[in-house]
Amino acid sequence: MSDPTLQLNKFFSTLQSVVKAAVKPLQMRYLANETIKIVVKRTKLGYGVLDNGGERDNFDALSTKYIRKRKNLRSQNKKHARRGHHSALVLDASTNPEKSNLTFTGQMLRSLAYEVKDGEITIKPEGTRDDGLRNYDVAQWCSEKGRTFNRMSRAEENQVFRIYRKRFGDLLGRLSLIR
Amino acid sequence: MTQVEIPIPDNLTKRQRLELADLIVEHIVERTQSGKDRFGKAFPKYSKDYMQSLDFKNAGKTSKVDLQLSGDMLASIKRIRDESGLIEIGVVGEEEGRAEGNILGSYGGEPDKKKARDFLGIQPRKLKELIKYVEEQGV
Repeated sequence: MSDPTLQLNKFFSTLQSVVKAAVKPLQMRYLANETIKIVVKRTKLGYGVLDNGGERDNFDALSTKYIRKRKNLRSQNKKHARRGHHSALVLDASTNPEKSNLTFTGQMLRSLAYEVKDGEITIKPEGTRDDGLRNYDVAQWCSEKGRTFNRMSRAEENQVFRIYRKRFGDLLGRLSLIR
Repeated sequence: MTQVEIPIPDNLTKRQRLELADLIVEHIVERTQSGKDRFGKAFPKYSKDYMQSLDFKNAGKTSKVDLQLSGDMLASIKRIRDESGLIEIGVVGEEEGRAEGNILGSYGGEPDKKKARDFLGIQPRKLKELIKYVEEQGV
């Protein structure tokens, strides 16, 4: 459950049965990128998904102590910025100090990338952060703490189905009909 | 409220009804994404507060009103049932509350017609066009 890797092969099998056509490798890469955008956006809005095909859920509330820490950091960042000083640790602009959205510095979500290896296509956090930790390990820790984000909800799967249909599938030739 | 019954010709086959339902759903999504309600009119604008919110920025939104924050609500529109002479389309499940808020203009409060963004439905002219398409396809 805590593995922060999103396996896409099963999703693509489902997509192929829904659209009744083979999804080509180049199309899969395009859809993998679109999936990353959807996952990142949803996570930044404060929601996680526990299991593929499930529903999204609000991340657990942050502790009062941690909220205070984030607010202090935000104030320090603003003070340093006004004085033209560099801050060693910067709270990402997309972060509300009071809300959990897995965006402290923003490095983990920015690192999400797809990989094609041995016929498997996956999405996972990559690389090492400023603090020396691997983004993958940070994501795994988040998941162990009940903040799983790198999955696709049922609605998100539908979003990607629609992207496929409009870009490569049956709706491509019928856009003027549905508009 | 979050479901709509659409009368259709009695003589459509099951396959034609399914095809038509799918096209109606896709039309509703396309039209909503273009900023128009079920009557073809522009949705009321977003409030200044909402446009300045972090969620708005995190979702990469612009001032174009398309009822998409995460995209889940529009992705949840589906065919609920079909029978001879009728198709029912709607939003069910966890997005139902959000859909109702938009349709009624309530957004967690009291309904307000001035704020309502009613996206669930199809104009007769468009429906006729889709029915004609489905009939001509020989599905």
